[in-house]
Amino acid sequence: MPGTPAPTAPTTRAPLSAYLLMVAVGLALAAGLGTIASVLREQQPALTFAVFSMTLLPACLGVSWLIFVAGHTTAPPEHAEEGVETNWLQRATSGAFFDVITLLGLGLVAVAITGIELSVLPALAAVLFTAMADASVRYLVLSRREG
Amino acid sequence: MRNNLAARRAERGWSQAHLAELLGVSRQTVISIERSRFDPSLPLAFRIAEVFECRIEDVFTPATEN
Repeated sequence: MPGTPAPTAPTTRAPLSAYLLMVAVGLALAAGLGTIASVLREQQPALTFAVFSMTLLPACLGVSWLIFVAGHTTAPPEHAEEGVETNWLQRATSGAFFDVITLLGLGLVAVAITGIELSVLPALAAVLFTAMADASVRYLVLSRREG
Repeated sequence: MRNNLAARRAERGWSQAHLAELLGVSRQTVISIERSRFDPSLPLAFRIAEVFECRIEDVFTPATEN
């Protein structure tokens, strides 16, 4: 292995066609999701389309960048799954999962006892935000402690 | 586990980035192993031993061992 050649270094920029494809697919994806939202919600379809398309555009461009551009500009290590970052991520997400389960259990008991009516959308958003924030903080702590 | 990875790497005049490329992992992984803050998987430990042309136990020793 000492004579093993280093993996090909990624270029800093992808071809122009990759960026154009990324933007086109990202816009199309956001517009498609906006269209679905406007069809399913019967009130103010134009406004619904605009709001959903604009709010989903960053995420759609991100996904599109991952598919069309990232392969040109980044090269993950050959054995990334054995790296310390993967270890941190697995521990962070595992810890966050149990935190969210505990939180959901306590929340369920609280809602059942008090009889509070919760709408689904903010409740799901809260669960998602809690899980992401929890995993992020755990990852940050692990990387500071063991990095 | 303790290890002498940093010393072996320095003997060969390799940077952490170069060793990371040889092992197929990130530079941060090499840093964490050298600081004994991350115990590598068995396949990675075998690759480390192969790169330095020695046995695993020549590089890694249990933390309790004197």
